[in-house]
Amino acid sequence: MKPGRKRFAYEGPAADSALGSTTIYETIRAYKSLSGGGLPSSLYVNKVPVLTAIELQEEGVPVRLPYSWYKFGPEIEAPSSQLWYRTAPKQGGETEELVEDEFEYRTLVDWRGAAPAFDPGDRASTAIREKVRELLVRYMGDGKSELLVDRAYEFAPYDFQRKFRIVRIHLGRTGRGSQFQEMARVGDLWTQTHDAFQLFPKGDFPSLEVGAIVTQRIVNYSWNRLEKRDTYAAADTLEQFWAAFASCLRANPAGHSDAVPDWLVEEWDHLAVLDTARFTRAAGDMAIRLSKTDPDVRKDDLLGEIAESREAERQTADREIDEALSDADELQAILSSDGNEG
Amino acid sequence: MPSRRPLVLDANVLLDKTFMKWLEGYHDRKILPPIAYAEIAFAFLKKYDSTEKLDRLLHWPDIRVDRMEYRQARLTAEIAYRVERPDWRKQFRDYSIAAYAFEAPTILVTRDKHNFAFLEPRVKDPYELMREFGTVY
Repeated sequence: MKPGRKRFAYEGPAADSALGSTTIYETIRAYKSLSGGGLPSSLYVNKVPVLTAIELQEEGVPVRLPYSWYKFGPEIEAPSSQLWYRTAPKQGGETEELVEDEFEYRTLVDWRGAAPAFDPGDRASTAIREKVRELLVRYMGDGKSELLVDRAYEFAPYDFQRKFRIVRIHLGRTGRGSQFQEMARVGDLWTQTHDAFQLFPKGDFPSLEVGAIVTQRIVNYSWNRLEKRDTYAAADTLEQFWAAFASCLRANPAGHSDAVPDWLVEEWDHLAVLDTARFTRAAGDMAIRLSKTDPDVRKDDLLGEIAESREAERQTADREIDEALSDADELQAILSSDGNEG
Repeated sequence: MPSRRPLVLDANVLLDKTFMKWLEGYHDRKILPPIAYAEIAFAFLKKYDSTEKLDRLLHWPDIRVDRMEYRQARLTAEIAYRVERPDWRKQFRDYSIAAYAFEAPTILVTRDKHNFAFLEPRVKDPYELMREFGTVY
């Protein structure tokens, strides 16, 4: 076993001497209290503890909360034994989850089991309780949740994140109710994309350097054209890039707090490689799509190459899938049998 | 075309060539729960005495076999507890698959939608999913 690797799936209650669990628990407790028994959405349970930890740190009260920066801003690494997630119909306002038509769901969170011990005489515990309540009073209520995300993004480690968020708000993927919503909506997608990538921290994310160029070129070809704009190509490629970037970001030292355990960072590192490879395939498919309406895409040194490479890959994939499933009926018969062969 | 979501796959959708080729162009996380992998691996072992073909089948659409962590084990029990079916013991296989798709916006893809009604509307038949999300090109 490698050093730092988690040995057991369950290692007992997530006892946290540095008050991380207290911060999460206090968020749920205070939300219930302020809302008359309602449960907080995952947006609140992720952002409030992180902001509490960051703001108290600045005030000289250290709270070792494990969190990372991911697709929708900072996320806590919560003790799975003590949080219970449930899905509830969306009530409007939040874009923490991917929201669209029939998928209008959000995740509500409750605390399970015993509450962390609270010592009213302890300065840190009292400061956490006060800070959590202060944040909730400020950001609870209709249309205010995204202002909490705005506030969280003030602490994002890279300006690129803040600029790219404008792009995603423009596309409607996040930011419903954000102070930047109107500004993002009226702006031009290409200009916003270009502005964001001017700040891409390629030195910290070398595996995405080419992907950043590919993304800009795909948005350029799909947006700045005489033919009807291919909004889907632009939006999907930006979202795919963001997914890959977010995956690399949380594994990056700047993208997570010191309290995140090493084994988890190792796991994120592994996922980041897979997510980057997925982006490359998705971009290849999008280059093929664009080349069908714009022959110039094939002449682009980068997009032409990834389109060609992806076409070859898909041909191989189709052939291999055919080969692997050459006896699909027999395999299905085995799978469907009740296992009582006598 | 709606935005993509992570998928959790039941074993019974993996033997459909049309769907597997379509999945190759569906770019989001695609998870095969361990119990579903065990089932499909058994079928390949029984037929070929090897899982080499299965490994290749899963490789191209980038399907990952997830681990059974404490969280999924706990969710399996929670689902069994909340669904409250008298034949709960027989349903544990399905509950343990559902545990991987429990959080929105993940979609569970299966040919036995009725067994996962408690996850509606985030349960899709493969052809329903293909119709809904279409293809990139």
